[in-house]
Amino acid sequence: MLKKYALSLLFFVLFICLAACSEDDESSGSGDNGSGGSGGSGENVELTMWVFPGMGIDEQIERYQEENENVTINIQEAEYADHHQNLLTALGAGSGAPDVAVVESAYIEQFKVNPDQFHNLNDYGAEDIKDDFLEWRWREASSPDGSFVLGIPTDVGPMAMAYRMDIFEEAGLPTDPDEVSSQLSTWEDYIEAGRQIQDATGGYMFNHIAEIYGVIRDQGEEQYFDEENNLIIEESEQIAKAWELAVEAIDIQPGIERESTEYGAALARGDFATVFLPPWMLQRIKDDAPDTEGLWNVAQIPEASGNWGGSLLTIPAQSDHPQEAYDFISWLMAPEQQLEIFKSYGNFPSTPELYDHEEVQNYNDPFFTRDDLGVMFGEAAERVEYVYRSPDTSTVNTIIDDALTSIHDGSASPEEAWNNALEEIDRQISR
Amino acid sequence: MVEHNTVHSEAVDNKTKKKYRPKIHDALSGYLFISPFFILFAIFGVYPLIFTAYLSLHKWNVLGEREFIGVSNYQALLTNDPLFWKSVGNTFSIWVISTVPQLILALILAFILNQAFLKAKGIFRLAVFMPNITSVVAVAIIFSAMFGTNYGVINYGLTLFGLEPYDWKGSYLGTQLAISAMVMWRWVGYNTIIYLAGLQGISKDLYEAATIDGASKTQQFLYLTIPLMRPIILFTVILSTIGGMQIFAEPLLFGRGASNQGLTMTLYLYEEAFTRFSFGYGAAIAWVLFVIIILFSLFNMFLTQRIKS
Repeated sequence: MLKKYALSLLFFVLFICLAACSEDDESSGSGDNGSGGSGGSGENVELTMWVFPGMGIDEQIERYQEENENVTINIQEAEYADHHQNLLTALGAGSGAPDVAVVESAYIEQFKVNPDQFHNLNDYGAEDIKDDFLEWRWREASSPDGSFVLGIPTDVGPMAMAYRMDIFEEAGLPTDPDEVSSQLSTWEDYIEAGRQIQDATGGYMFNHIAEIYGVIRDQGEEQYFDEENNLIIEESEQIAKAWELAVEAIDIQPGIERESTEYGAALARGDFATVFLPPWMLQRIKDDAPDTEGLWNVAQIPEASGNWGGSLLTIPAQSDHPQEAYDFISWLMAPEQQLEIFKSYGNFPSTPELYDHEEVQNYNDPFFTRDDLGVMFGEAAERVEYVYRSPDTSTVNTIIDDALTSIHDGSASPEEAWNNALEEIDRQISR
Repeated sequence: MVEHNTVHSEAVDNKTKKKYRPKIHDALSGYLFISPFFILFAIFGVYPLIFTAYLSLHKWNVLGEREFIGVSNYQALLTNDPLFWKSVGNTFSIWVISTVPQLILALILAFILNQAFLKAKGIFRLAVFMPNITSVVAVAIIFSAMFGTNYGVINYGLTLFGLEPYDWKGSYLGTQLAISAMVMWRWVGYNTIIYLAGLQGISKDLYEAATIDGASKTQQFLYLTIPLMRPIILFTVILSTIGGMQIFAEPLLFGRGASNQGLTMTLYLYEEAFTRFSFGYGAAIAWVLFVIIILFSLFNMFLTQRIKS
């Protein structure tokens, strides 16, 4: 008899535990928002922070803890995809989210449309530091009307174009960055130069059809959706332009994706003459093609720039210490700290005042010839256009990329590919 | 008072002793012993199953509100989703391409490993099983490099024989062959070991008798080994069916291809839920998949019974 009771008791306890787990944090999360208002007042606080590798912020976090003895930062690191999956799960489950979570730019939209899950940083003083940051970056971190701010921007990835001077020279193209920029000032010029290179050397201009599409796409403010999230892909001029130019450029690319294992080999062999890249990708060329030192130079991309990468530091609504967390992240991404991070790790700052700083101005790398890389990426960062994206933007991107690749594979004509893509987009975004 | 208490407790003891029946007691502790499995199964098996069914009737992106939409997910899935049916077709064709040669090869390998003349059996057995314990991610990355269109070692091999390099990632057959090759590489050894265990269960006398009767090794294999191994072969067929329906990591890492030629059912489910965040629709896919696998297993059982009788 006793055992039976014990058994049912065990079940009961287990059940209660499980039920309680989900209830508990929901109630405490919503109630305690105000309590941190007096933040930093000597009370000991432990903040958990979820990051993924490559943030370059460890030393600065150490410093913050030394300067603020009452604050302990508990860093938990997970791989890029796992990190975002964990965050999504913790938010969806209503418990387990950290006090500070990094959100990479590819995931921003997904989280931004659910403002209930995060503390609005405007409530803690984000309005005051707004002007420190690049305008387009801040807008990406905010709701369309600016009333809600999801996170404080970390670094940015302004895009430029690295090119092989030896291949350009062989094809009779200029090699000086300024001359390259002026001769390749439009995409038509760029494709023309690509044909010239193909005729002269038999090589390609760039790696993959979807890549040039993406670069041109990001140069326009209007993409697939308007701000009410209506699909406007068929009306968008920038999308039509990007698609047409990409299709036109199909014979000057070998169809090697950047994520593929072949990319490094192709880069080392000089299969393509140009690479569109943000500053953090310079290192990748050095790793993949160490023998090409001194053959590269970097110029601006035709017509405009774009951004690839960078993150936001957010405070999930489950955090009980939003004020302390805000004080910490706004300090961490203040210009002084971003400068330190740039010095040690090369993460390009999102605060434009640093672009005039000698540390950024003098940033250079003999591997890429020119000695003012910092100035150039700074200019590129100021050239980035704000782009409105919806949570479905990445879904549409994948479908269009696949459509373009299928043209390259020879399994669809451009018209078929476009029409199939439109049908599939309609299906997928309605779910 | 004290006395009274002891008397009372003695009475209780007597009462329980009288009622004590070994059978119930044993049954109880038995249940207790096996309960961890059922508790864990209830939490990680039954509950997700039911919750998935519930989710499939909703539109949900994890973070926002769950919106009840009835059976429209199923409706869309069954009537207006060519991609889903493509993934079903892909799964079955990859399953056929990988399983049929895999089992034949495993049977032959097991037969060789079981021969008396073979020395250092342990090393061969270990070698054959090794691929199965390698990380599937590592396997997929290596195979992706090997099947590269421009710099892959397999295309290099083809050009040595004067053949044209093949576009493995951009063609239907190429992608499915590459994925099947990975599956085969990992599972041939596993099935070989199972077959080997089966072969060792067959009495040596039968082979000796066959040898005396003048049967060659090939005849012994075809007329002795295969008929006697039938139940084990059926077992491996069922196992590979279960595995084949769940092929996921290989196409995820190799790339499903621009025309979705490598998109399997589980990969589609994953992409729907975790990259497009349509958890309701993903849940509906999961349930349709469940039904498809049940139907296929029933078909399998039916076939098995036919073969047995």
